[in-house]
Amino acid sequence: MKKVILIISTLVAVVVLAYLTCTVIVTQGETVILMDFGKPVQQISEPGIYLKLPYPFNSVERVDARLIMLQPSPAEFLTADKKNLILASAICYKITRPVLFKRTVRDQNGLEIRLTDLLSSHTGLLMGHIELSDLVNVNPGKIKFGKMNRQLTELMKRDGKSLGIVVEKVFIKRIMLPDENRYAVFQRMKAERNRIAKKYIAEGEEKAQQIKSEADRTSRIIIAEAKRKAVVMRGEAEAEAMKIYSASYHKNAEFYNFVRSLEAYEKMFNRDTVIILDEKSPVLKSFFSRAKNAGK
Amino acid sequence: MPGSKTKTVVLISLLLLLVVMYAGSGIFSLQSGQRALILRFGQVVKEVSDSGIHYRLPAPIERTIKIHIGRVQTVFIQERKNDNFERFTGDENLIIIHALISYDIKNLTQFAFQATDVKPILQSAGQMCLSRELAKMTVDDAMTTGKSVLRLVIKEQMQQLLDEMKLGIRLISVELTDISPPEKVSTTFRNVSDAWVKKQEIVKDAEGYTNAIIPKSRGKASALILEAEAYSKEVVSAAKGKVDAFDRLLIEYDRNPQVITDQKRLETMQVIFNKCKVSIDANPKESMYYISR
Repeated sequence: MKKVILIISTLVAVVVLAYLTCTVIVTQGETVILMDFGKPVQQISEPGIYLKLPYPFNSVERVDARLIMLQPSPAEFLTADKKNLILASAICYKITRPVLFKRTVRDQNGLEIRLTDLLSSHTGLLMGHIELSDLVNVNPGKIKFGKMNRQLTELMKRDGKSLGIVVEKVFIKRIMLPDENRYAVFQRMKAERNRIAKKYIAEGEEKAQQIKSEADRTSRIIIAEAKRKAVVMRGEAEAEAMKIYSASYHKNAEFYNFVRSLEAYEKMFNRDTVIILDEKSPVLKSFFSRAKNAGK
Repeated sequence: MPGSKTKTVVLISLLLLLVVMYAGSGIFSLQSGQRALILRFGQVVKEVSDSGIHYRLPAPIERTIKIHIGRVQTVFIQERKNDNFERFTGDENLIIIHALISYDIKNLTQFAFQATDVKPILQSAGQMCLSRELAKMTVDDAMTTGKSVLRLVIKEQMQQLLDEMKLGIRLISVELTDISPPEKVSTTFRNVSDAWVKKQEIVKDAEGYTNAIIPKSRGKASALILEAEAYSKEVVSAAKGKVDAFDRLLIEYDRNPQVITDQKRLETMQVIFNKCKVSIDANPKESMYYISR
């Protein structure tokens, strides 16, 4: 019985010891480097359990194989049309071949310095063939932003291979202007805004004038139309009156003319008219003839 | 040897207890909003999403990674104020744009093992999409319709980028918290919107003028018509009256022409002489000369 226990205990101890010294577990998202007396011999990125020789024959180093962001500080470049632009970019990469990575740039810090330099020189090269209007344009067809980003990514990917990393993405985050150019843009913006403000006012006044003229025109038409109707109505009424008069006229033309003339005289003579009557005028006949007769 | 036997039993029991305890170390619990990945020798074999008590094989065979998944996370895209922090619009204006991105986890394995930290990736991707889309718009479009248009476009583009990178993230929304002109030119931008309001006012005034003048003219027009109508009635009834009077006179005239003629003539003269200046003269030719001088 004791023997059995002893065997089991020994077995457990051996298994535990073997596990601790002769295996290595590679977790997802990391790469493990097996080193033979400090010299890297194997890199494992597939997750699982692997056998190794116990220390000091084999030692283990774990490297994070997940995506890392590098955001170098913005740098200034010259475009094809000789404009200074500041570009802020970011690189997203992962370390896939840590042995190569260690050999070429030693550590994270070395890598970042190297990537920053590479990014800067590639960006500078690409910017030399590009104008501001290729990055910024109201006509989307003329924008080469996407193309440039792709080219930059390709270049960085290519260079990344020799550093033991995979460049996943390059982001051109922002295009900026140096301060002095920036203030020039502000001035232009101000001028443009003022122009627009003036244009709005002018447009408003134009529209208002148009509306007012239209209103004036309409109102004049309304009045003119009314006047025309009024004239027609008056004319019609006068024609009717004439018809009425002429009916009477035909009853006795001579007497009608006589009465009508008398009426006309009443209107023709006014208070300023001076009538000079001959004493012999028949009008005054009744006045004087009786007297003459009396005098005989 | 009863003593030795007891010893053995105790030893076995102890060993069994150890085994049970070792096996039991695989029990773990999950709170709500938590999810767990079970890794067997470093490789994901199972994802547990129900809260409660669960079991996995004891270490070192299997282990768990617990991640809070329930809550929506946010990340800001906001440049430092003292920085050169504007972005270009398509017409080479500079404006300030800030965004708030909210997201949650859609694939736990990808989220856990694809990137060390997703926030800077989200920020960079968002910044790039913002810059790229803004560079196609005019400043006026950006500040008016931009907010609603950009939101959707940027969310879509960012999601595509995140999916390409297999980050296991689902964007919930991209909110543009601020689109405004730089402080140095903000007053002129305000002037433009003031001018726009003024323009509306001017036009409204003109419309007011129209609304006042047209009814006034209509009133005047109907007054003219009414007047003409009155005149027409007057003229016609005057004619009728006169004709009526004439007809009566004519009856008398037919009966006695001379009397009526003389009578009418005198009546008229009476009226005329009453209002005119009358001078009676023996030699009218000289007086004529006097008047006309």
